[in-house]
Formats: sequence, C-alpha cells, structure tokens
Amino acid sequence: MLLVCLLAVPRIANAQTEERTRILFLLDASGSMTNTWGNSSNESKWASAKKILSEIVDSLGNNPNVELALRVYGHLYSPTQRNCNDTRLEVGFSRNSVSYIKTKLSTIKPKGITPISNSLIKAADDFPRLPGRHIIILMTDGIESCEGDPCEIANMLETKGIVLKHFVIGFGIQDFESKVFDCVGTNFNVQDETSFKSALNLIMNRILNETTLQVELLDEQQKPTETDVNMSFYSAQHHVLQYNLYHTLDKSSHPDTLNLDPVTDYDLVIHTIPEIRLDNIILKHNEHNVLKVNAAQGALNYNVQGNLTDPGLVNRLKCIVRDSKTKKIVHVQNLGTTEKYLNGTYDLELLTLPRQYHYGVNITQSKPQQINIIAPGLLNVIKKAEIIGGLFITNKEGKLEKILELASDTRTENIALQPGTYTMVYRLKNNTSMHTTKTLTIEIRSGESQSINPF
Amino acid sequence: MQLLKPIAPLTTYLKPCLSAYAKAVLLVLLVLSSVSLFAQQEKFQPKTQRILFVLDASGSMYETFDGANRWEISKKLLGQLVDSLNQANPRIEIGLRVFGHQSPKEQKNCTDSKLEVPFGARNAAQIKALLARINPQGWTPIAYSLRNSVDDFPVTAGSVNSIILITDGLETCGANLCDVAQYLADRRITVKPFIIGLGLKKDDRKHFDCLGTYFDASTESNFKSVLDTVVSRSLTLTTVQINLLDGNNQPKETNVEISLYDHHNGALLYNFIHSLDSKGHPDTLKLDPMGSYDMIVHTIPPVVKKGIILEPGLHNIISQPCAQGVLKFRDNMGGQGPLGIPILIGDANGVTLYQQLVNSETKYLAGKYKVEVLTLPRMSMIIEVMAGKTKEVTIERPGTLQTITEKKGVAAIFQMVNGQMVMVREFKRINAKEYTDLLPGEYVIIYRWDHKKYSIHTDQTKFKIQSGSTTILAL
Repeated sequence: MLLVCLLAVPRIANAQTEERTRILFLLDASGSMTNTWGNSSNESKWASAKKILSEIVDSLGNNPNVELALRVYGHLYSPTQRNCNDTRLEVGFSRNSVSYIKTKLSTIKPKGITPISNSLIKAADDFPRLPGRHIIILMTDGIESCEGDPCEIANMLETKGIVLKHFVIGFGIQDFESKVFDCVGTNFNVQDETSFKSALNLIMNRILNETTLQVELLDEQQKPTETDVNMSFYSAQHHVLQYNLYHTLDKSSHPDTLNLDPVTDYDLVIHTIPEIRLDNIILKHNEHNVLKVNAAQGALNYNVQGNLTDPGLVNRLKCIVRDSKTKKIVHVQNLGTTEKYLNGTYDLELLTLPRQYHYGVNITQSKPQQINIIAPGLLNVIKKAEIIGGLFITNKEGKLEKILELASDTRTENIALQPGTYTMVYRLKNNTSMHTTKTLTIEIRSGESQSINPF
Repeated sequence: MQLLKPIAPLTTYLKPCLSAYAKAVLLVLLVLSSVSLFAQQEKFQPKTQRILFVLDASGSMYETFDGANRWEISKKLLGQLVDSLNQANPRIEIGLRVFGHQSPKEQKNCTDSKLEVPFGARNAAQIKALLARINPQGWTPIAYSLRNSVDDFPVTAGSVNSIILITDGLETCGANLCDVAQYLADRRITVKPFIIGLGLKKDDRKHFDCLGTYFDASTESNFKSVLDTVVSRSLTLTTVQINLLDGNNQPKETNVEISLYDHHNGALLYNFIHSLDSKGHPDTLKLDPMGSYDMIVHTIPPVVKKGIILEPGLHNIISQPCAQGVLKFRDNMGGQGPLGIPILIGDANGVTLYQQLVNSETKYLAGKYKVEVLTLPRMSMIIEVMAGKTKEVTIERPGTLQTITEKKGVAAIFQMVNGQMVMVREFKRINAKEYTDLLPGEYVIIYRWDHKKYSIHTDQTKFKIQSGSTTILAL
C-alpha cells in the first residue's frame, strides 16, 4: 500500500549564489556574570562564555558564507549607575572578525546591568543592508533590567525582515520557563559549561544546516497533491519526538521544503487516517532529500436521510471505521460529516439500533463513498410498573436477536430505532411465573414518534 | 391437562388459538396502527389426547411366556386397557395400527403395516373385534410402520398425540430407527414413542435407544403394569424446568429471555422471560411435549442449545450453564442518567455484542470482553466479567475545549501517549469557535494558518482538560 522512495539530489554548491549568514553574538557582561555556575564548578559564567564562544568562532572562521559580530552589554558602567544604554557593538561584521572577537572577549570586564531591549534595538543597525540570513544569539544570565519588552522588539525585527531568527541562551536563570524568552526565540537555559557548549553547537547546527527534506504525498496519479496533514518526526534511535510539521504546499503548490537536523535518522508518522508510519529515514547530509509516499485519500460522507426526532442523536449515531484486514478501529466518524481515509478497504459499523454493517467498503480518491442512514423513529415505552424484558429483531436466520434491554425502572424510555419491525418480550419484574411473559410486535417508521404502554 | 399455547403457531401442524383475553387486547391495540400483535404465553386445555397403539403381529408373537402365547396376552391386556380408557375419559381417542399380519413370513413383506382402527372416541369394542380377527404371521417392519403412523393422526391444533409400540422383535427390514425418531420429531406429530418389548434379550433393547423410551415386559403381570405406566405417562402433563446455572452450577440465573424454536423448521414456538418461583426455584413450564426444540437463551452473548427432545409425561429439567456478571459504567462525578457516550462491548475478536452508555449496567456471560469507550480520545480495554460479581468501571467525565480563533487554517488535537503523538481530533478547517469534549488530561493542539505558507510555521499550544469543566483556548 505504501510506496516509499527516498531520493537524494546533490545540492548544487555555488559560492556565488549561496546566501550569506550573519550571526550577531549578543553577550551579557553584567556584574552577575562573574558569579560561578553555582554547582561544583568553580568556573565563573563569564569565563565559560569567553572560552566556549572563542572555540565556536574559531570553528566558524573557515566558512566563507558566514560572517560574525559581537555586541556586548553591561560592561561599560557600574551597576549603581543603572545605565540603560550600556551596550556597544564591539566587533562588527566582516570576513575576518574571528580574531577580533577572541581578543575583545579577553579584555572585557563584566560589571553593569542588563539592558536587553536597547541592545536589540541597536543590534538592528549592526547588520549591513544586504541580503542574507541575519541571526541574533542572545546569551544572558538575567532578564531585562530596563524598560522595554524584548519580545516586542524581537518580533518587530523579524517581521520587518531585519532579523531572520533569534536564539536565546539563559545562563542558569532561575524559573526560566516562566520568563518571557519563549516569545523572543528558540531558547535554552544552560546550567554549566558543557550544556552551554552543546546548546551553542545545536544552534549553529540549526543555522548552518543545509540538509533539506521534501515529503511528497502522492495521490492516485502519483502527483504530490495530498497535503494539510500533520507529520511527526521522531528520532529513529530512541523514538523521541523531534518535530511536528503540518504538511504544506508552498505558493507554487509544491510540497514545502523542510530543514531537518541531519544528525539523527527519523521515524516519520504522517497523521492521515489511518496514519502512515515510515521508520528509519536516513537523510543524506547537505543534500536535498525527497520522500515519496503514497497517500491518496478518499472521502467518506456519512449522513442521515429524513429528520432526526432528537438532535442529541447526532452524537450517538456514530460510524466506526475499521480496517477490513486487521479489524482495528481507524476512526470514529460523526453523523453529518465527511472524512478522508487512505485509499483502502474498510468495514463500517453504524451505531444505529439495531447496528448496521457495511463490510469491505472500498474508499478511494477517485471513488468517494456515501453512507446514509434513514432517520430513526422514536419509541416511547411508558411504564406504570417495573418491567423487565428486551427489544428484539428477527435476524437473517429467522431467529430473535436481542438489541436492547429495557431498563428495569418506571421511567419512560425513549428509544431511537431504525424503521422496521421489532418484537418486545417482557413481563412484570416481580412476577414469578414465566407464563406471564408477553410478546408485542412493534412497527417503527422513520422520523415518527410513538408511545406504547405495555401494561 | 394444561398446555401452553405456542406464540406464533403458524406451522403446518399448530394453528393459532387466541384466548378471549388476547383477542380483546388485540382489538384495543389495533387502534395503535403500529402495534400489530400482542400475545401472552397463556395456558389452555388440550381438546383431545390421542394414543396410537402400533402392535406387532409377526409370526413370533405366537411364542409363549408364562404358558400363554404373547399374542393372546397382548389381545387380552389391550382389550382391558381400551375398555377402561373409554370409561375414564371420553376425550381420549385411540387408534390401532398393526404390522406383520397380512403376509406370511416367507414373503418378507416390508410394507405389511396397516391402520386397522382409525382414531375415535369410545371405540374399544371396534378394537377388540379387530384384534380377535387377526392372525400374526409375517415380518417386523417397525420403521415403516412408525413412518406411516404420522398420517394416522388427524391434523388438529391443541391435541397431544402419543405412540405406543408393542413388539417382540427387532426391525427386520433393515431400516434405521434413529432416522425414524428424527422424522417423527421433525413433524411434531407425537411425543417420542414408548416402546414395550416383549421378551427381548438385554442386548436387543439398546436398538431402541434412539427411538424412544423402552420398557421391558417379560411376564404377563409386568406387561400389564408396564402398559399402565406407559398409558398414564402418555396422558400426563409434560413439564419443563429450565435451569440456568450460575458460576457455582446452581440454577440461580434468571430474568433472561428464552426463545424456543422448532428444531426441524426453525419456527419460533415460545418466548419466555425466565423466572424463579416464590421459593427461588426455576418456574415450571407446561410445554407442548411433541417434537424437538432449539433453545436460545438471550444472555449477552446468547447461548444456544439445539435438538432438545422432551421426555413425555415427566418433569424435564434442561440445564444450561450461563453464569453471568454485571458490567457497570459510571462517571466520576456520580452523575445520574446516561452521559451519551457510547460504550461498545465486543467479543474477543472485537465484534460488537452490545452497546451501553455511561451510568448504566448490563449483564454479560462471564468472560473477557473487548470494550471500546467512544470518548475522545477513545479508550480500549479488556474487561473480565466474573460470574455473580459486578465489575464497575469509572469513566472520567470529559471536559470541554473551546477554541477561539480569528484566523483560518488547519488544526488537529493530539495526545502524547508513551512518547507517541496520537491524533485525537482533526479539525481540517478550524472554525472561529470549536467545542471538543475531551477526557481529562494534557493535550497539544497543532495548527498552521493559511497565510503562513511553510511547514516550519506549524504552531503548537499545550493545554490541560479538567473533568467537567471548560478550557478556553485562544489561538
């Protein structure tokens, strides 16, 4: 049923046309950065920041498509001065900024407050007015000290297209979750030097990843037109959820290209009905991967003919859709809806009274299915005394089959029944003789309501 | 004797006979156009009782026991019996069929059988006169005689018919007596035959095992007492007690519908709801003892017992194990009345047997069931129902998610189950306001607005649902 085909197209590497990536490191040099991590480590946060950032910029030095810059805040004024403009671009963007950044880092002494918003506003001007992917990595050990909302500014920069994306690394910020960094950008709160290093690496990987995946959901004509289903990507090794991505067609109606971290292999679950599972997808690094999946879907419309006497029945008269082969329930469809199912054969169980079955229903994209039920009639059983018994139908073998047990209380029962002939077998609850059993034949008509008073 | 009237006696042999009461009710109900038939399992008096004597007049009947030959003894005892029956009850009709009396032994005539005296009341004299004229001589075509005896009985409703076969030998025409027994049962003409064997060897008696109830007579005096017993049994009420056995093999299960069908043609004969009498014993039924029954006990799932043949003139006990337990679904807020959430009770293969709603209880045969609770998300469970016990399952009352959005897009609700994203509800196009009833728990709604043309703009919002309350989510 599934055609899975993974194609890898070599990425055309062309330095001329390659987009330039500009990364601005926005580093906190407020007084608290001189504190240690607070665990067994004697290293100060600042010492770690210097060391790791130096390593990272070193490793990026050889990449011709990357330019780096460093802006620092809180290092020019003492905290008592509370200077909200204590922020400066220490090293601007250039092809050979690496050595300048390393030198600059070694000379800075943290001391002041944390003017994040003002730093972000000024950072906008740090980027040249040139095309490229402009990214800010904010590294801070505290929240905004001054007025201004970092979220608002970050959003503004992104909407105006000045900055593509913000990343935030918190240096052991207490209660980080409740702080406002979520809306600034993808964020990490690190507790020591090691976790700082891995967070920074992760961000770099995300920024510089050139591995892409296009998932083509093929229709019956093998054209990639199926879309608008969520896809869950799990890491193949530990099956940990990595991404939820709604399948989308871009402006030219092609499946959107996804940037995935190629470090892991993936298990992919496409949330069609039933879902499609593809295990161990190995992406070719730095290439454009195309995954073709047969996902042709057909529609099943489930409706009622006639008037429902009780609108509450809509929620009861469900249609259970089972895979014909495995007999597993794939979906429960509500009355009056249309749902899409993967091309295939299904068994339908309609929760009318009596239940109705359609076995081996073939639902395909080119052959949508319509299943109608006739509106039930309503039988009101008025009980003056407690009775026991049940409602029966005569099945194909001519035998009585119980479809409902009467409630053994004196409340009036309202029973929605499909049009047809029913047999009610009953007697008074406290009667000790079987001879008092009574049999009643009842004819039900669609949409009509009728009352019986058995005693 | 009182017999129950079959409820839908539309078979060839049994005609409906509504009591005055039932007719009156029927008249009233005709006013309700949709209710077309009303019947009760009433008692009624059989109009007639018929006994057909099928008498062996083969050559061997001249052999003796106790000094007198069998034929003479048979003539004498039968004569006395019909006399006394005539005097006792004018509603008893007697018929006489004889075999082996028309052709000599040498002809080996396997169709030598004749209804000599047709059924009639007060015909003892006619029978005695006929017996006096007969000379036993021929073969023993038992099966042929019984098969043809079916047509000896007039077809009238409300009669109880018996056959008493008196023979001193085995079938000599090679026919299968078991087939004949089935033939008779299928036609519901008579109760199963009584067989009186005159001086048969022990080994030979078992040949009659599948035909009917065998009585041995080896002396004149015990022939007389056997004959009296058999006649009294054919005139005595046949009663039935259905023991529905619980988990301890005690006949305590009750209040379940039982349908009895004609085993041969499948016609529905009786519907009862099983009852225990005031002493807690299964109620005694007065059933038409003729023919073979199939019984369906309408437990969930139903229990079927086929080919039940009643012992005429006795109290028959039919034992059927059907230990039940109760399955009860209630919601955690102690709610009264059904919550409207369908719960499907299925067999081991997941085939639905019954549908319950939350806050209801139903009995099931003891055993394991696959249960699907159609909440969102769906709950699947395997529940074991124990005999005599109530299994209570609490379903947490769902809460409601109300989503509000001004944007257009696609969305679906998921739940993380063992690290897997499981889709709970797909909106496709999400409306400005959507209401979704969800079981309490943590969920995530995943969505992508139409104006964002990239998968990367898939957003997700986590939310929590609490039992019975509404969570409002602005997207």
